[in-house]
Amino acid sequence: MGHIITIALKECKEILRERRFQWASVIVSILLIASTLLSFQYYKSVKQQYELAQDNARQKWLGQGERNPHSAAHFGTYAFKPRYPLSLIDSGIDKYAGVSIFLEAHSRNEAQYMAAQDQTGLSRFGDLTPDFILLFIIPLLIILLGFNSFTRERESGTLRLLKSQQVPFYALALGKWLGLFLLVLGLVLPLYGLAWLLLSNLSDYGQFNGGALTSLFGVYLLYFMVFINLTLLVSLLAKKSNVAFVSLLGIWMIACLVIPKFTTSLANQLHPYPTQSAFVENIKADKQAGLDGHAPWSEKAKQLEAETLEKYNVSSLEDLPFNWSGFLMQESEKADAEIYFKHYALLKNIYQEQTDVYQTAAALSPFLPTRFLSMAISRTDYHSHWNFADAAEKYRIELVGAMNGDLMENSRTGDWSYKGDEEVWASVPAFSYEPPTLSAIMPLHASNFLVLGFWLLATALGVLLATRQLTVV
Amino acid sequence: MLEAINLSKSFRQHQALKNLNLKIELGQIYCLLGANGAGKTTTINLFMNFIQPTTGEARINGLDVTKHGTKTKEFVAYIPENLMLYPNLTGMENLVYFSKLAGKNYDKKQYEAFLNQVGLQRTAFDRRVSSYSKGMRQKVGIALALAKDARALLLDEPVSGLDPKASNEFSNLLLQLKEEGLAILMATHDLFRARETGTHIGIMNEGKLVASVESQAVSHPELESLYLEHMN
Amino acid sequence: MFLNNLQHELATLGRDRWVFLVIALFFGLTFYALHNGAEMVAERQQAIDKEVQRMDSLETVRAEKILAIEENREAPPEDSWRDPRDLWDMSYNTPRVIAMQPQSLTLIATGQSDLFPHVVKPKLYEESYRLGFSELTNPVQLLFGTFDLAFVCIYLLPLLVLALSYNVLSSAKESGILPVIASQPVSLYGWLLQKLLIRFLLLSIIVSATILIGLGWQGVDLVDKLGSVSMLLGALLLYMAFWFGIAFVVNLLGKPSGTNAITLVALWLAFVLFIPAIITQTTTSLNPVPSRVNIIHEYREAYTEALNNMDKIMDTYLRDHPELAVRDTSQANRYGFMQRTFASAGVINAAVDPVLNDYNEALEKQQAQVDQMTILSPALLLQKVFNQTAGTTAAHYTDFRQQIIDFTETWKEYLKPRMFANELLASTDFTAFPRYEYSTERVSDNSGGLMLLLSVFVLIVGGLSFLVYRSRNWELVVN
Repeated sequence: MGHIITIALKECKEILRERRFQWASVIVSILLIASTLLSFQYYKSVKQQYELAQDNARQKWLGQGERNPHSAAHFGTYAFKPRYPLSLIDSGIDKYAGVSIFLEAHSRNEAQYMAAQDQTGLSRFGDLTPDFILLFIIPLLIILLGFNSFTRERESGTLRLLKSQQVPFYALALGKWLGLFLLVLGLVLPLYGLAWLLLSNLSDYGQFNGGALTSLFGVYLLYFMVFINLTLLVSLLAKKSNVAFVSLLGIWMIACLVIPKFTTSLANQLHPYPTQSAFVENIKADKQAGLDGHAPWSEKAKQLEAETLEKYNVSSLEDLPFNWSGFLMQESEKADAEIYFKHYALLKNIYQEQTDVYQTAAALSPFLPTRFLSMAISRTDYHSHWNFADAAEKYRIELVGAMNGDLMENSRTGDWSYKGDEEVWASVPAFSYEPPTLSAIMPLHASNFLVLGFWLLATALGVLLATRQLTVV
Repeated sequence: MLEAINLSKSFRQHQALKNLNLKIELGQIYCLLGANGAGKTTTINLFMNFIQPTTGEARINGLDVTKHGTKTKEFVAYIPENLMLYPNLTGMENLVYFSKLAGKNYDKKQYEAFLNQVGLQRTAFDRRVSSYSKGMRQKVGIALALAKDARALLLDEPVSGLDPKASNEFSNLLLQLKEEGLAILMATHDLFRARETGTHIGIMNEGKLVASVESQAVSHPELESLYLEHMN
Repeated sequence: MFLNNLQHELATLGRDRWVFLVIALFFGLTFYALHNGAEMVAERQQAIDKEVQRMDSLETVRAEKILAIEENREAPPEDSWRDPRDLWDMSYNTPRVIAMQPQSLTLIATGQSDLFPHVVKPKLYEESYRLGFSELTNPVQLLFGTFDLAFVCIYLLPLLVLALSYNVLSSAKESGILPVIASQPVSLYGWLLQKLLIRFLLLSIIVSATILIGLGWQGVDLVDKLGSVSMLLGALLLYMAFWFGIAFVVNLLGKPSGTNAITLVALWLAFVLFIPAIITQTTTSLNPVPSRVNIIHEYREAYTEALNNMDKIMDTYLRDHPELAVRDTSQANRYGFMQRTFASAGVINAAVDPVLNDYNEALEKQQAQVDQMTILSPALLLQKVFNQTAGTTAAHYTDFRQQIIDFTETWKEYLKPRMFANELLASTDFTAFPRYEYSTERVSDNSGGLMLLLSVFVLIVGGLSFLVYRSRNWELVVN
């Protein structure tokens, strides 16, 4: 143990004295802090926009004036996707997902207005956000610091000397590992502190307890450990520093850039999404085969009419204890909701299949499980987006249901002059969305944790095995 | 052919060469003796224009090397302590490449003649240089000097690390070149060989040329005592 | 000397198995990337064809039904909404198809094409595409991006260049050959320049040939596309020249191979990852475009207003458009709803357009600002050339959106007088319908200018190399 600490301290000292580390760490620190502050700025402005928009939407809904409740349901309202505070660290898919969903009678709409659509192709190179630094740059920094940990000892002959001091090589490896880890920790901890400070000072972030932030950093530390292992492993196996450097660069390139893109193309070819127009067309076809609330003359409607009259034992629609139009609208709404549910379930299925492809590819790249875990904890993954869209759909069904219900209960068939007022509009509470809690998310990502853990163990084992084969010449 | 006029070189605080004045004519072999750091290699590097003199001039064929860096190299060949060649190419290919760099073009027979002349075994011509010994690489270096038709030869510790037989062969080659009229400047540690092959001997200490004698004028023990005298 | 060096380089490179590995890798990656691009284009084309075929067959069926009524083989249905001659029903159930056809070189760069739909069916009563339109995709895919030729050339090719050039001088120095070379009557600058130039030429031939073969293999008509393809290759070669130039400068610094490698990777990071990311992040954070979310409110404001004043709007509208006024008042107009919609659309658009225009202007301004920033990195310049050649830039989609709006207007203008005149569709009408044809004419292509900028980068590194050599040439051979 004493050996290991001594070696770790020597490694730290040696690296700290190196110009390349000094340069690199200054640059990375500046980038980390700048990116955090920039995304904080962005977060605040988007948050403000979101609150304004959400408020505005509610005001519009309440202030729409007196009108038929079903018209009110057509008038509709908007649900806006809130930004979760941890998007400060990982903005995930946020820029590639719509932010607002129009909620109206008869239709489930897709989230609209993704930020990326209003940017040029330049934005596809990525943004300078903390996740970019954490996922791409720090692994590269680890490689830069550690590629010659062993090759240098061999090249300068100090390995011989170490061997003569009876230092077991596994202790040497552990010491070097610890040295690298401490340096990386030294770089990342300030970011953790800064994020903690910024987040805990957000007045509207009630649930901040640090748990999610800490888990997020935990995931990144695991990721860095994997890269430290890989770096030491290659440095142990390579005969020359140059070879080690080029090989590690290749590994980084493949893990962080090539495999994610490769997997994306593969997932898309294996399980393609339908195009927007095909998706809409399919829904339209199903709907036309079903009940149309605005077509009381259709066969389906006539059939429902007969059944209802029989059920209430009356002879004409006017004799029903409620407004037939409202009832018909609501029945068709239910049917439509089911059609949407079916088609979105199909879509989710494809999404799940694509996710499985990524999951499989994670065995080839530690980047992928880290990417997905980070986005999940930051609530900026696709799953969180679905969660929001589903909540909005649930609210839409309630809203439209309440409107049709009001029409049905408070007016009689054929009474087209009935109008609801603000009291009716206010009877539906404003839309509010809470993202799922950390404990609800974690079990969904067990496999990502497993894969990342597998990477950690496999590479650690690799390092230990390689130390046993290490020779001084 | 080779001439140093008040040649000095400083590296920051350290003065590596102090006011060297030296003249080597065609047909002379001038051997520079001295301890490590005495300024022998600095002198050769200055002649080769690898470094810039602080003051003074190094001239080859009457031309200042700093002003005619490329032109003066047409007249000299250079063999460093450990002459390296492209390991992936054969000795022949290396010779052809460097000759062409020097602007000389021959047919294959003639290249073979050069390699023969320096005593490289025929079987080695088309083997990759990675399998050559130091002595073999130096023979290619001399062949290159022949091919280049150099008028002067600069050698930096050429025989250190060679076995006695190879060392002897090399000395004979130098004598042969002297006969052909080359001006040769050689830095060496080897007093014995300096006296055997050199026409002139200079002794350097701490950047200064402290003694210069004709080798015929001194016996071996005299040279040794002269050398030791100046080392203190 | 050049021929001698060429022969020499061919001999040394030829004996280096790394070179072959690297070339094989480039070959494989290019072919895979082009294959991917072709798959994406095929998928897009398929979706378009399917919609167009659907439209055609729906039209045929409807035309036949109408013909049957016209020839009195069948009686018109009792419910007017079932009548195949109904213009409104036709517009809803036999919608026009506005399709953005892929270009023949679209396969080289995905660009922004994964964000937008390529098939849109105009609606008469809703103008959501004025606000935004999007394709159904998994955003994770958008985040990771696709493996296309642009990726191979912008990201990976520079690394290949650097691998071939990072240690040309340093390895000569480390192996001890440099003094032997320096003792020849040649300038080291010229010697190194030639060596790198030869490598550049060799790689240029390999890269150009690989891309040309790959494009030909994917069925691109190279003769027809000679102009664009040579422009593309020209830009690519300039980009490669830039990276060789960078390697040249770093070599001339005379540092060991390891240091060179690290320096060059750092420069690669700076030009390919950092500079673009910093530009995007600073412009979006410090100078955000007002959210589209705000437009929704303006739109709804106008919409509510129009809805509440429908009758008044209709009166004014007819006063302004007397030609549309119904002449035969004995019969109720079957398109009453659409008439009111047409009338109110003008009012809504008049209210929304200023907001929309302001927004679009702000957006254009920001995009123009970002565009100017592309001069900061050759990677950005090359990406732009790729996307322009592929027809997948943001500008192409902004233009497509405008084409949708324009065609929808044309379509409405066609139907409007007929609806106000309470007309029915005739079986022969279909051939007279306005048809949409995608065109890239209005999107300006400044590839020439971009190439000029790329050349400026090459010249800058060239000049830099000279300055570095002038200040360092004394130290190159010995330390």
